[in-house]
Amino acid sequence: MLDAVVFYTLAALILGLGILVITARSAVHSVLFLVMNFLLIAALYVTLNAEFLAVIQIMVYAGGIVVLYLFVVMLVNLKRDPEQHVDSRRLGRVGIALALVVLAELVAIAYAASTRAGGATVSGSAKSFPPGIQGGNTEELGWVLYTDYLIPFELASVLLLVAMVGAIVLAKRSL
Amino acid sequence: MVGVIGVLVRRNIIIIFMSIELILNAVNINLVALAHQFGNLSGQVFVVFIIAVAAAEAAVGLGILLAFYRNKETVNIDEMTIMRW
Repeated sequence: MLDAVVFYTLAALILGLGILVITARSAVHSVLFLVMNFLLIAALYVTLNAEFLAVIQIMVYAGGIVVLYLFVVMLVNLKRDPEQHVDSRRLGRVGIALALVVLAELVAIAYAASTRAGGATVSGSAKSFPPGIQGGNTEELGWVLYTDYLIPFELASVLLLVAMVGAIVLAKRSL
Repeated sequence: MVGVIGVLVRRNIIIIFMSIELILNAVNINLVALAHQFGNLSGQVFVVFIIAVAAAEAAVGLGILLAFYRNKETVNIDEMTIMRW
């Protein structure tokens, strides 16, 4: 029940943020919505027992790719922002709505914590982990990655090297 | 779905790149969910590869975009017709 609530909340937030990404008027706002989107997707990975992928998602997407996007947006889009007038009342309403969402989330967490503290003991909550992933799934993923998928892994590394060289060459000033 | 709409509707190429990232993330979510459902780790391995390819794609695409912007001073894809014969 709690899993379903968490999943539907995350899914709704991810969808809403995706829509905001493609409808935001300025590109910087789009990038910031994209960061939130990636972080929520990482949270979704955690609920799906893919902790390693969640960490990778945060580091590569939210840390690397989004910073790249921000650099490009700020290099490219500085001069002309078409509709720049900011409706402060609208922003205030959005802020109040977000605050209410956070409040509802906190209340839900407190309620769930109180019911769980009343219902289950410590051993019960510790036993809720599936037996296979006691040490996280990083180790198993590493095994699969370096045995069954060794050659695609090496190919991916070569691809990254080529992409790095290509990006440097393309972005060089005197092409 | 949202990403596809973004690719089709917007005319700012940076937004289109972000939409492509959204599409790749949707694929990743599906792969992770199915890997969780079937208890198989291959899906997560593929997600690792997709993230690597997405990083490479973003780097090269944004490099191309920077080179283009330096020449043409625009990010509107309707004006990107320099390869038209």
